[in-house]
Amino acid sequence: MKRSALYSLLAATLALVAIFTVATGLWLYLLRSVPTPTLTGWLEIAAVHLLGMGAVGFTLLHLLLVSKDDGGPGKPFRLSIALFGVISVDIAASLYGENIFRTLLAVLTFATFSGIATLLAAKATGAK
Amino acid sequence: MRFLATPSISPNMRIALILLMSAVSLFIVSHYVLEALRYGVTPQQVTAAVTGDEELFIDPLPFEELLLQVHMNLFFIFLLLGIVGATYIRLFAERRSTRTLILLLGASSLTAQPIFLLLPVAGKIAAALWLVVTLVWHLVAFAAALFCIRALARGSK
Repeated sequence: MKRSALYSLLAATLALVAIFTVATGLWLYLLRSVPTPTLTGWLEIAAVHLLGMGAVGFTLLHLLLVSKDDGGPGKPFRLSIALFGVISVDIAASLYGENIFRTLLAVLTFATFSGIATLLAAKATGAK
Repeated sequence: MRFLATPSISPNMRIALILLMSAVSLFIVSHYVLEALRYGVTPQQVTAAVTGDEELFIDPLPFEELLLQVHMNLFFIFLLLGIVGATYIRLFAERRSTRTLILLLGASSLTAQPIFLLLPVAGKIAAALWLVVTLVWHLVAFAAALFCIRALARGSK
């Protein structure tokens, strides 16, 4: 099997794992539905997630950029801006926002991550 | 990730990758030991740890705790699969078994997570299945990391 095909297989598997990771995160968030957290409580969650979401987002975007026929730098670049924008707003808003607002942002984060992961999986497996 | 595209791996990159793979191997071993200590190594122990046991004064784990564990495990699997998978493909792309190994690692590690969530309702059957699948994905990842270390140390790739 060609190396590029193996990397595509790996990218598709990683995309699947990313979708499950974000889905369980959203499920957990909705289960807990915590009221306005304390600064310590917020930092405990935010610090870990900034690193974690950054690592997952970077890996997915990196794989998306190196995957063949990605249509140039325009689309992934816009996606990366949207991704990190959503993460920043989400993390910041989780401290001050109302519950429903934060839930909407969590759903938006989930949609962004899973959208990128699905796009990557589609590209990796050659689907149009 | 630059080493993925270069035709040969430089000696410095080789050392860096050996260190990375060693750290990954230690993570795999310590993660498995941690899970074994936390939940046990037999279906009875796992069931008692998750659903509780009145005779042994063990409280059942709340579902949120299980879900948090799965969420964290999926993140670890993402990083593990990315690092070990990419390195293994770079070193052993010509092997026929490479595709099988990547698929086995991905499928077994992913399957273990929903089985873990089913433990409170499915009992000992799910516990036995979870123990097997968890052992498989840790062993596969550990073997892949060791193969990478061996190939890098020999300098054959």
